[in-house]
Amino acid sequence: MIVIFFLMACSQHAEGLKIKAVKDTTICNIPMVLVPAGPYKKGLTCESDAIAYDFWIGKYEITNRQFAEFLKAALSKRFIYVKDSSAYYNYVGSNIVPAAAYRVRQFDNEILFHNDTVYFDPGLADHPAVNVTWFGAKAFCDFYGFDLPQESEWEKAARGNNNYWFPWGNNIDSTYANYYNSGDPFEPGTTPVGFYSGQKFKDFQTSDAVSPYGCYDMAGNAWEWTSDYWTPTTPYNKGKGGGFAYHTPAFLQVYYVSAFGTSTAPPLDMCHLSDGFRVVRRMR
Amino acid sequence: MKNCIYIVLLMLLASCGDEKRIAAGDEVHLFFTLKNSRGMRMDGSFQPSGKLPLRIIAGKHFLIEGFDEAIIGMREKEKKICRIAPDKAYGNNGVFFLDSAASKEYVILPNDSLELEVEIIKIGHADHD
Repeated sequence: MIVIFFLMACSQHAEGLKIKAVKDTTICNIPMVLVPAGPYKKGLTCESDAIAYDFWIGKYEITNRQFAEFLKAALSKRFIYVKDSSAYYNYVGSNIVPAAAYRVRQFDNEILFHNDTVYFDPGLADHPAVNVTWFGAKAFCDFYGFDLPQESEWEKAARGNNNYWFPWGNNIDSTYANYYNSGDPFEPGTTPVGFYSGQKFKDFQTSDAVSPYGCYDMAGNAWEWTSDYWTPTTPYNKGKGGGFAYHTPAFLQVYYVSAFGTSTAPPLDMCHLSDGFRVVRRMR
Repeated sequence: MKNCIYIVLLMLLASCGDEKRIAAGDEVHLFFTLKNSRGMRMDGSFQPSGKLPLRIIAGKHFLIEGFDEAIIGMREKEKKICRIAPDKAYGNNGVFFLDSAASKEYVILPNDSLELEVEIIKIGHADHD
């Protein structure tokens, strides 16, 4: 009887603990982790919900190196084009966003377009690609056969079936994530993806901020675009995870959704200094 | 012994009349709107899909300093409008987008003060360490 009780207690304890990534792979040179079908906790109240299919999700946010490689390849195949210092994508449209050419990204010092070639700052190669519009994230996905995560997929990947406030638990300090004024060695910019892994960088000791399925940077660094609209008739997409630029830990919680903007949310082709993304590939 | 019980009961009755005020370490749910000095909304709980409460631990750096300080002592359902000085907000950094002409469109100018409108929804005990 005691043994049975002990085993039951262990099983319940394990359920609430982190489940490390059960599987890793690389798709189009992008490290991915497997999120198996099953239950997860949704929103502020941690309502129980479930996703009925397995999916792969980016272990990290898409980096400058990966985004620059995409721009090069997509330009050479005329999938996108350059006009007035920006890359553009002919988006096919949706039921509420008209088909048109939309901006992918403004070229700048991090990702530069010069003499018909795309360059990236090698010092920022493994930092998340930011200043990417929603259409830029969508173009990347369409080019390689990925999708942007739905909000539900993003939340499941971020905390699984735990009631956590953040991917790793309920507490936060500057060793876990890159947020406004967090004092990391790369202030006031982005940190390399996967930086908060428990490593020590110079004198800066990080904590392991991994999600239950093995994702990094799901709190802070770059806001991440999702495929979900605010409402079925509101042509703005939700951002998750919080960013480095001016958001504090409250906005890095898994349930939170970006509401930044002059009225409701930023226009989808506006480049914001902390907007990036990660990708998913579904198995259904 | 009896006296002790009476005292405890009296203290409990007295505390029923006291509305809890936010203290450092409390879990707080709130609605807010932050506007820049030009009156332009730059962040807030009012979203197209409805109001989304912000959950924080008071006094634990979940918010910019001026916001965190402004809610200390507030009660449930209390509303407040106050100004946050730049040194307790975003200082000389500012916040900006790159607009379609590739120039910086500041939502918060460097050294701008902010207007905070806040409504306390719920005050509770935080289970955090």
